[in-house]
Amino acid sequence: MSTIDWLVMTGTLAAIVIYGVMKTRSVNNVKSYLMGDRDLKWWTIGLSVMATQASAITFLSTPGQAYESGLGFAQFYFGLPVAMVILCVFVLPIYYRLQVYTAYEYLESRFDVRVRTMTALLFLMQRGLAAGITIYAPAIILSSILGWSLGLTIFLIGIVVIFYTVMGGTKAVSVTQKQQMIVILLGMVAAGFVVVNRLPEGVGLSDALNVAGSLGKLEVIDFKFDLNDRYNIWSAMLGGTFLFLSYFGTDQSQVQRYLSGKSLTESRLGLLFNGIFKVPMQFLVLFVGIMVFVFFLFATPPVHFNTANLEKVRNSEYATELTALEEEYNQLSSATSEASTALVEALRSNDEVQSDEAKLALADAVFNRNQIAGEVDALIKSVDVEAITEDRDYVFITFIINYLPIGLVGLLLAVIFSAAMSSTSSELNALATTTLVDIYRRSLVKEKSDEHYLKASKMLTIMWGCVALSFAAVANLFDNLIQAVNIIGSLFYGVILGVFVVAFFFKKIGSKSVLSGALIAETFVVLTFIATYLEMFELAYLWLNLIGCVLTVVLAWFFSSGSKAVKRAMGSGAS
Amino acid sequence: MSDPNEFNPNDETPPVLGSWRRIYAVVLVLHVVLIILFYLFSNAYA
Repeated sequence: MSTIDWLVMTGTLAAIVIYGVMKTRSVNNVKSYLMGDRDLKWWTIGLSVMATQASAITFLSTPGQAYESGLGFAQFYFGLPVAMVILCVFVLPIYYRLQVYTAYEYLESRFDVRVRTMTALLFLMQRGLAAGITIYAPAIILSSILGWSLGLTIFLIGIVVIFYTVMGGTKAVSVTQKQQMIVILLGMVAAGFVVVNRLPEGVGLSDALNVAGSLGKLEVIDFKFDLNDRYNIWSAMLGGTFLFLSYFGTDQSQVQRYLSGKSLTESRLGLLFNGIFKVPMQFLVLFVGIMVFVFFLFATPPVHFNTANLEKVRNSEYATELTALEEEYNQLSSATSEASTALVEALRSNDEVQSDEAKLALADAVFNRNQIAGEVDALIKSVDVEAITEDRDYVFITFIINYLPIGLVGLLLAVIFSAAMSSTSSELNALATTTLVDIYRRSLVKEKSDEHYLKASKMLTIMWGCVALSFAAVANLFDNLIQAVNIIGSLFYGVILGVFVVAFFFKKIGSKSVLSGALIAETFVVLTFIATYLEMFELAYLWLNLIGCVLTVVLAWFFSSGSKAVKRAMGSGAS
Repeated sequence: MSDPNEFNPNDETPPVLGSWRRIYAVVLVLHVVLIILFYLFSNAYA
């Protein structure tokens, strides 16, 4: 990486952190530290909510997702605007009326302290582990590409985030996220322009779209109803709305962002801003991935994008086979480039027969190239059985490092580090707030001074930062880490959402019923997972979210109805 | 009679369009328009 790129990257990141620290120097009481003086405007809230959701892996993975599977992933976010409207109508007014610090605080006013504590603990377990992954996942890719040590990359991301989150609390998180999101959007737009400009001379945006469309990469909407298909419009509108309701409505890392708004109006506008711009933003990121795909039809991509995997093979007995496969791959890439040029010319000529033939020839060339890539994957597995051969997360970073001009490489790396830091800071802030407000101040150490709780908040932020760093540092001990954390999340998320659904929509159900329902549902979810782990039957872990939520609601309703029936029977018996 | 201190979410009027109901409708209509545009885009390059 050039000196200019180093300067751009470190300069951008340092400027954001210094700005965040300077803007939050006046934070000197616990309310200000946890709620940011409740003075944020809607655009800061909107950008902050977007930045919290968009982790670094989003910007590394999403273009790779488009490179591999096209634009269909955009559908995943179709339920989000609907969820934003539902939250603005039903949930935000309740949080504002009660002036809560955390989502779980509301549960005490609705039920009792036991329900609040149980839900807060479920959140802490789930989010505490996820914070480690938010640092680890981009660190492993960045360290591999930049040639840094993994430990150093994790330490650098973690220590900077802990520093400014401890210094300025919620306000520092939101203020820095606004700047980080601006850098992220500028960087992605710049990357989009560059990749189109780097297409061969005479091949424009329209040609690139025609070529990508010919290979089926531009199908955004899929109307086919299929329960096994993760991305179609039905699963997005039904399942996606449900998922985003639970994430934005009950996850403190998001709730804290909009609760620090100046007023209910500002918070509502912030969420609706997210509802309007999130889908186009994801489309932009995917679109950049599509352009990278077209670029690599004309230019020769690496046979495998994860260089660390290739190095393993180069240093093994299979090195000669790899060299032979790479040579064959390069020849096939030349054929792919020629077929792509032929397709562009055929499409321009408006000759249907010629166009169809050129499309088939290109599809054939791409297929042959992918076959060789598959053989290289097999070689990697021969060297290391546990190696992950899926390399789509490395596609965009490879393009950034090798094909972007000097200066822009630094900016795009700042984008990825910014995304990692913005998500992690929200998580640490939310973990510290929930631990302080729902556990420490509520049940353990009551009636202390404001100064005591401010100090405790900072110590808890450091503590959760250390937990996240420790987990990130040993994360490589787990086989499939991201899946492991998703499974842990699925074990708790459904039950948390179920408790909130009862709280908001079943006003006659009391604390005893919801607590019993939640505990039984959680036990059932864990036992179901153990049964699937022991291969007693098959069930995708994402279903655990739905099972946990529905079971909690049904059981709470059942216990509530049962206790009322008993009371009625006793009442009529007595009369 | 309602409590004068009671929080009423409708007290906070949005800065544009006059009511929250209209703002929500705009967000949802924009979303539908976006989905239709995506559909047309997919068809145009299919």
